[in-house]
Amino acid sequence: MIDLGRGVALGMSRLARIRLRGRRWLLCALALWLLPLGARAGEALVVLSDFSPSYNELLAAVREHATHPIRVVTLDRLKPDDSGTEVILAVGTRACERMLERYLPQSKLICTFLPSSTFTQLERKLLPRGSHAAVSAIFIDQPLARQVRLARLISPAATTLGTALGSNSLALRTALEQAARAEAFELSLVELEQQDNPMQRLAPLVQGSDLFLVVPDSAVFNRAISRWVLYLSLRHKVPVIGFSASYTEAGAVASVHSSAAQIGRQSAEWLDRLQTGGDLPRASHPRYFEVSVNPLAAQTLGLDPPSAQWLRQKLARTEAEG
Amino acid sequence: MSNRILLLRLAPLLTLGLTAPSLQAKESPHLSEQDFLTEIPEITSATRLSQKLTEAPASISIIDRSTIAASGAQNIPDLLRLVPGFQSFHVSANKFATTYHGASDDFPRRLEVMVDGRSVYLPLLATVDWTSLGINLQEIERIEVVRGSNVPTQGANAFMGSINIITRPPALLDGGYISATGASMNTRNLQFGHAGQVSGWNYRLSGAHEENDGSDLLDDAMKRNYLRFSGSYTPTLTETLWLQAGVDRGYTYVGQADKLDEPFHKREHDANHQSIKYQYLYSDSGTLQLRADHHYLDLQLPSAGFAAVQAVLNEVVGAVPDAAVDEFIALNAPRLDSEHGTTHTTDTELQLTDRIGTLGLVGGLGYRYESAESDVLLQSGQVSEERWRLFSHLDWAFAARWSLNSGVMYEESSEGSDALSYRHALIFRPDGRSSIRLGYSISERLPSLLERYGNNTVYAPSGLFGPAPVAYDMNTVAAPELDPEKIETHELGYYRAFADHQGYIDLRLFHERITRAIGSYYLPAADLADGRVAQNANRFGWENQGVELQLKQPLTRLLTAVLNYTYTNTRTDTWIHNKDLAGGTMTFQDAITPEHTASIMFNWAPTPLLNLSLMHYYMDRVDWFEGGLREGYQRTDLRAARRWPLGGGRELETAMTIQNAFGPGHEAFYRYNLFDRRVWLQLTLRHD
Repeated sequence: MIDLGRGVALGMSRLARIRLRGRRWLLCALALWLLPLGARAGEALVVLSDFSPSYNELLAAVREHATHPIRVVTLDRLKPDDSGTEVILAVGTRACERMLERYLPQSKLICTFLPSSTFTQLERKLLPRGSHAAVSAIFIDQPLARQVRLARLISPAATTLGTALGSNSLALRTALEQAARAEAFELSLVELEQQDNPMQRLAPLVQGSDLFLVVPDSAVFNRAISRWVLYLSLRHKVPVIGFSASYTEAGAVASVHSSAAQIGRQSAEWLDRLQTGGDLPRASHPRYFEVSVNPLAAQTLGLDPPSAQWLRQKLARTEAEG
Repeated sequence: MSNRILLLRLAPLLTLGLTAPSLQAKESPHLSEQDFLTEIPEITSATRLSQKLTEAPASISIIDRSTIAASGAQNIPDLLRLVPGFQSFHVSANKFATTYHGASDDFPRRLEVMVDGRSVYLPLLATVDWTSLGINLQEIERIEVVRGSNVPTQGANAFMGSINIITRPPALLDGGYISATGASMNTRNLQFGHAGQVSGWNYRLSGAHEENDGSDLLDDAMKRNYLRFSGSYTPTLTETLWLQAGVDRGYTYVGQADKLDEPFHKREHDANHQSIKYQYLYSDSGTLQLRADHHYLDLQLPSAGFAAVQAVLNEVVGAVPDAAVDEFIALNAPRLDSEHGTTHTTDTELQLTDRIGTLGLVGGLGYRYESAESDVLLQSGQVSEERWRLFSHLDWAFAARWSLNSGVMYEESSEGSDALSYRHALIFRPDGRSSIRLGYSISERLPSLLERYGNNTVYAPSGLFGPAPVAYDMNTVAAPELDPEKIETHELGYYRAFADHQGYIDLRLFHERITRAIGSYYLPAADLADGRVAQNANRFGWENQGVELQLKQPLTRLLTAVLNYTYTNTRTDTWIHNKDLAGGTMTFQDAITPEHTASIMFNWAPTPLLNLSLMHYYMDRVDWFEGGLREGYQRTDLRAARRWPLGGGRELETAMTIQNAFGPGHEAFYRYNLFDRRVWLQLTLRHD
């Protein structure tokens, strides 16, 4: 009985979703008739999730590097006919979600500054399967291969790479294993759940690792484990590779990350490309990135890592060659 | 008055505003960019929010572990010489004090001092007793010093600033150390610490035996033993529990070194503390924290013996019979010094921290119960006070490079007064590494139990001035109607971190106006021997303006310099103490605050195992309340430390520190308290 009930419920839910999608496409078709008369030709629309220091930094970089005019709106000021703009840059998860919901086929949409996993989920949820929507993205996160490569550069002799995954990063497990194999690491991994005692789970993991790689998960997960990972790193003299400048400042030996300005620059280049008739690039991780190194943390762990600049150039060169 | 009412209404709204959206917030089904922008916790002392130094609404100095080691400091106040605006002094060989912007006696009243967020301010003495904290320097991870009034965040005691001593987290390191220090003053210190895990708990256990004979000139020895436990437990991914407890027992000889013939007296102390903190990360950005702690201190000074009392009575009123001496002792319970009594502080607090869009928010509610008992300072019997506090702070990044920080604290005392304090700071960040800050604050400081209820009367035995005992002399009477002190501050700050966070510059221009400051005022009392009695009153005030500079600059990869400088121009109001009952005033020879205070530290690590440092300190002339006018002095300290790896995760460190290496000795606080050359040898064995 229970199974039947669930099945029926699930079936109705799917049906409702199909109906919803049908309505959305009908709306899109109507909107085609009502194309925005106010939109100026050649002007790209930049939709910000809101005004925050990071979005503003990204926007400043877009303004600096874009050679074509842009018009900026925040989500709360978005008008219905804005969705018809030919080229749209949606900054942040919320802006991407909204613009995907209102997507019109004549538009080319770039979502930027959002996690890769989120974009995949949103695309799957909001665009019809098999649609040829002109939608792409620039992610905020680094490719796992880049992070693992940095780990190798920091510690060339290390054999075991430790990491912890939460419910949001669990899907990366296979990719992580591949990246570790490519750099000749043996991957040691724990999956942490809400009810786990993080110290008890992480302590043996860090102790048995030569390096620890922090993979970004939800903010609460990141906040919950950061303190313990950094403490254990010091306790067991195991360097931590982080994913943000903040992590490096707090005690990770090195991190690879892209600033909002760097992602803004790449977004501007994509906008220009579209506005000059170019193709929409495939969704990708940031092209521009930087490496931060914490010399004090390295010194404490008895390491003498190369400079941040050398590491960045080495990573860029390896990617260009490969 | 209408502003006050408005703000009073605003405070709870801010706190409620914080909780409402958080409790309603639902977890996002997927990651957002904010997950990648998560800030790893940084300094929290200025606002309770986790902030970078470029985001804080106040100037903050961090004394980190490497600075503590390199400084060769033997006590915590000595470390504060490395913070702009602070003046540290030795009241005697084993009694220390620190104040911000001078204007202090040997019991600085206007700084909040905390150990891991637990206040160690003593309502009995209205100050901090640095010799009974139960913590050795090796247990300190860092010290966060907020320069300037921090009442909106930490409450009334943080009137001029706050100091938060953050100890080493139990989960940070395994292993331990044992350390022996000796040399000057016949010092015999043995300190130890150990960290490990048991039953899922991470713990640190530390303690010490410390003993010395004091200075050559004064009989000011000390001896103490202390033990401290700190533990943390993480039952789930999002919950953490901390426990701390400690005990500190021993003695310090106390007295006034303004005369050579005044003996010092043995003051025994028995201190203990307990603290529990629970933290729960209830959402991506929200944290709930519950804290409860208790601090106890018992100070015992010997009663004045028969002979001593008889000698005093003979001197004051002429020869008296033995029975009158006995009766005098029974009536007055005279002590050899005033630092005597018992005090409790119990504090509980609920705090919520969250972020809503561009708004960082923290709010909470606290309750503190303080009690004090002393037959010298509080002769009328035990006194107590309940204080409730409601606080809130918001950090609003309202534009790309701009943010507004606003904090408010409302405190209500059971003793019939309340205090409202707030601070606003507009911060401009031209880039990620620097900030320009314009700040304004008004803070109020509730009087301490001692200031409000301090009273001391000398009763003459029967037969001396009448058939029955009479009040012969009243030194002080209680002042239950005292109002809060008030400080208004304007400041302009600039902070810039250099590349790779290897150095920084921190500049602060300030103007402070202190009004309603509490001090003794003499009232006529015709019945008493000297015809007057002192009572605390809100009658005093002064104004400071000046500049503070802190500059940390790596000179080479192995050599770092830290420079601190403060210029303070102080203008005092006319301080009428009425000691002569004719409107008499106090003068401070234009030196209530030292005009110039400076320190510089060079730290050089020529090899990974060798560490050399040189510190030079300068403090201008200052007229200390109680201590008197002291001329400016210079002092140079040298330290050399060498580590010897022993294998198996063990290492030995030998260190030699020479304080005031090039002399001459200077008068510290009191005329006869000479700070001469001192040498310390330290041997430390560490193991992983």
